[in-house]
Amino acid sequence: MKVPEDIKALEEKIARAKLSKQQQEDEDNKHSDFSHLTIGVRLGVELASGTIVGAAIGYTLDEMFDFTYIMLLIFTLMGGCAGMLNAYRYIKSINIDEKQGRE
Amino acid sequence: MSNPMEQFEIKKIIPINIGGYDIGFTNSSLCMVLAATIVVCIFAFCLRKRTLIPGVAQNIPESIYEFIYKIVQDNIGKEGLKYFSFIFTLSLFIASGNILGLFPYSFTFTSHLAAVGALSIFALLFNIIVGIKKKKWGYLRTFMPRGIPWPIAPLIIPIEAISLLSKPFSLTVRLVANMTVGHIMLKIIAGFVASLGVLGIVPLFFDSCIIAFELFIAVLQAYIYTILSCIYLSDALHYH
Repeated sequence: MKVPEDIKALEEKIARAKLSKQQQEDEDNKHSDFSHLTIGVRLGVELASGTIVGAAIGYTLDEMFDFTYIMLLIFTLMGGCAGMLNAYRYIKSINIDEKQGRE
Repeated sequence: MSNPMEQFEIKKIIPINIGGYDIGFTNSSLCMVLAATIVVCIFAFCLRKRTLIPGVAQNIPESIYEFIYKIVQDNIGKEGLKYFSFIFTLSLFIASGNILGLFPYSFTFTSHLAAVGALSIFALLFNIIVGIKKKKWGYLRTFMPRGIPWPIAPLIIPIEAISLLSKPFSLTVRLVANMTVGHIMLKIIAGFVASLGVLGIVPLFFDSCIIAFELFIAVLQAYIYTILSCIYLSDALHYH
């Protein structure tokens, strides 16, 4: 069955409108200040929590085995690294999501 | 003006002491019980007449269910749906706890590190058990990703272990900090209402705005907690 020309034109118009609305929504979601704030807060918490957990583990080991704060020093540094690793993974996941969104 | 930190004080309602351990029933425990009971009651009430075409009341729990179902499906995938009931319970408990804390004379148990920390540690243990069940010994790869040279293993393994352990901590801190700060702000501004007399209408207006904002934050934080729990569970199932 042949589709009339005016119906075809209307379908194209609807598809175009849907696409532009979706693009607009995606753009709004990606660049809202609130999402930037959320990213910033999450990064800060990731960095700090790694260091704090590392320091807590180090302190506990020192208390348990009487190491005179050497474990605190080592594990705080390692905790800092773990925090950076978590932050890096988070940023990587955002980049992947954005790339997929663009495709 | 009364102390804004006073609202976070834990008060014993029924003192219980077993074997030297204090396991008394506190105002925090009461609010936890209330939060769980309220959710169950709302769900039971809204779902008392189950019809194929949902009415207004039935729509509420169904929308919440579908919303969390979608979060689980999007973040973990089809295999994550097995753990849906856990995520659903966790998020509803936190959301109701956050909202309950906004009522006068209530207590915000989600502003306490011990309560949220216990939930997060429970979620972490759940993730570890799920990961071990799925990947068996392969789960240990989490601590030593592929492609890393063996000589640096003594450095990488503790870093990955701390990275894993810091996840519940970051989850906890985010929720606790948001709840605590919001409630302190409310209390301080409410203090001005009483001390400014007639002019107190200005801080009262601000307080009303903040209450609305806090309601939004309460739901948002429960949503963030749910999403992050899903992401961590997804890491345990799919990572490496």
